[in-house]
Amino acid sequence: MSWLNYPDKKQKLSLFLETESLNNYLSSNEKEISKLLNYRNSEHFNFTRSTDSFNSNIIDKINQFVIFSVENDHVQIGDKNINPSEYKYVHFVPEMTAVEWLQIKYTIRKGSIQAS
Amino acid sequence: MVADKIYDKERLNSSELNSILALFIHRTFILYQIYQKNAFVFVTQNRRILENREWLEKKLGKLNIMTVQESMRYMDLYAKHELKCYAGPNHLLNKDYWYWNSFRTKIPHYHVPERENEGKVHILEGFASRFKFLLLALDEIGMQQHFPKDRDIMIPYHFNYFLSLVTGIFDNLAIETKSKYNISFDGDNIPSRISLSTKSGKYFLKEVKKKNAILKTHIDSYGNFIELINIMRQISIHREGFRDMAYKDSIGISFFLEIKEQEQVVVLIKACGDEPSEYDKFSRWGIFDDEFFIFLEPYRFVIAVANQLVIFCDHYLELMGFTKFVDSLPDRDQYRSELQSFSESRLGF
Repeated sequence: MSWLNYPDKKQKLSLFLETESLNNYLSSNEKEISKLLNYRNSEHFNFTRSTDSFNSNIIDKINQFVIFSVENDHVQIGDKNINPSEYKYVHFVPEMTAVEWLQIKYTIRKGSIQAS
Repeated sequence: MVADKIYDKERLNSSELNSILALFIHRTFILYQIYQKNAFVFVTQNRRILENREWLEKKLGKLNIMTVQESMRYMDLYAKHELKCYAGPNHLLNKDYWYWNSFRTKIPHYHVPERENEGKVHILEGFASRFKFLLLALDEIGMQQHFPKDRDIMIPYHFNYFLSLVTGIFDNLAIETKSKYNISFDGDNIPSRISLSTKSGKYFLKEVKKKNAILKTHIDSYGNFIELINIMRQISIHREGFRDMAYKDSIGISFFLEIKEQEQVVVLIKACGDEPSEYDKFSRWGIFDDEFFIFLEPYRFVIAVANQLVIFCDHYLELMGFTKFVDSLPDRDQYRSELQSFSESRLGF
């Protein structure tokens, strides 16, 4: 299951699983996590999982996007000359990034990193 | 800013960063209505995020950040709100049967022989049906808490009924005890004296001690609990009632009962073992003291009560000599495996 399986429009409860802490929790609570995950194909629930691979992958893409956005004055992250490795520390500082998140979501879904 | 507050530092490691990143993606899905309205949960065991969830919701709006346990309970209420009772991932039961199985798995020592329709109804059959209604009332309060519809009237309605049912359950146990041990005492013709309460059931309990001292010790060890429920029922059914209050903040309106004037209730809740909850301002039994008011959150309270009641009642029946119902079934009995599966797979309380 990939995080790119966006919730559909049926009447469902969407669960966004923050996998990193859940993976740690899993070691001593395997039964509990299994019970939860067993419901992933049930009619009323929709699971979105932020896997480790997804996280590192998307951070790379977000960094690119942030650069792109700065050039187009879309994201106010301040210093353009900041070391690229530091982007991950600054890109969510401004709380208006919701629009950008959405753009990222759509562009990744289309298989492209071009911002809409 | 958000990350600063959550982790109390400017530079995050990749794990910390990912947790905040996930939170913002979740928020985007909410803002752009990728999720159904009010039908989303952010499931995490990240202590920092959970400890700051109230602050996060004030800052970013409703996020529904929950632990795995809380999420499963929420899923169960969501499905029931949609009129579906899940016994397992792809296994739905009708409401009556779901609550019956819930009761049977919680009180394994309930072991009353089946009877023909015309047979006399056993007092513990009344106990079983009251317990089933109590579990239903608990869920109804939970649904009103999370998916409100006429909440201001429906929560007090179910809350008052819940309290009456608990006292009814206590009375059923007392009546069965009197009957099993042929207990008689002066005034045993007055129903209110056949009671587990130390006040009204003083003479009855004296006789219980003679017949089954361990059972009497068990009742005594739950004295505060029994007293708490009896007092709350008195307040809700016979006296002034609880004052309900709607509390509005940036993420919506919440519903509470105000119990500052009912000091005895507060004291007894603490005596029942209430303690601070891990991530919220409300205690495990649902109390929040904000200096001007003392709030009681009904859903937390009824869960705490039901948890104690389950332990109390099952052990009570065991001490009365009842054996586990499932032990009477053959190893490969279908209902036996159904109860086992229900116990392991159901999501809710």
